[in-house]
Amino acid sequence: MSKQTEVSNRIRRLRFDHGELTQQALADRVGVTRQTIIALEAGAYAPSLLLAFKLARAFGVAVEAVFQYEPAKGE
Amino acid sequence: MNPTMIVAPGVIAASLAAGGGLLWALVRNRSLSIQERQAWLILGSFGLAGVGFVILDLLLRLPRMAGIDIAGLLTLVAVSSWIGRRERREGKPVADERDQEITRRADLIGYAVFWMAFIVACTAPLLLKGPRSTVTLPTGLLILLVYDGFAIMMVVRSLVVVTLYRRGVQ
Repeated sequence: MSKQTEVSNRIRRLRFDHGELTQQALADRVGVTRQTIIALEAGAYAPSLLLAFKLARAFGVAVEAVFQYEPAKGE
Repeated sequence: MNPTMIVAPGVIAASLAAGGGLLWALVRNRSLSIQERQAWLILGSFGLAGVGFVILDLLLRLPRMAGIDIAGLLTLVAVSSWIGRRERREGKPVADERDQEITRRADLIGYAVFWMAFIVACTAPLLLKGPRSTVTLPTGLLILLVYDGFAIMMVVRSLVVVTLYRRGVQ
């Protein structure tokens, strides 16, 4: 069971918008393992700032187009 | 001769081979990260060793072999470091920032547990016999203390790795 982060992302959507890019191909582009892409898509991992920028650059969009911050209730 | 003594070794060998086979398939599963496979190997090996101990020592009461536990632990360390050798040779990223974070947390918890177990073991004679008592310990026990602490650390570390890969790391 994965614990969800407060940071959501559109990586899966963007992969399909970019010619159905595979998880492995995206992982190779940004220099991580495929398991990390799976964890990111499942919302089980909040990436470092560096990886967030690398992912945004891989899709040719701004970081905000890939990641969204959703604060918990009461914040 | 007791028929149990004839059948039992075959059953034990078959069970351990089946368990070992399943473990080997898990270790070769490339959909898992190297750290996760190493952790499963360690947990599976300790599980099989536990089953082997119950059957051979507690049920069949076969004679113990001194030092085989330490040899087993060293072999396990060597085999687990061999996992992922092919991926490393292929030049693929085998440990990224997420793997490093999981490893860091697992190391920290494993190290803390090792020291807690070590301190508990060292203070046990004081608590059991009192501060003015004299206790004589066999020298082998000191080695065993470090060995057991290391074994506990490996199991705890592996449990943390497997849990964090399943649950996610923030």
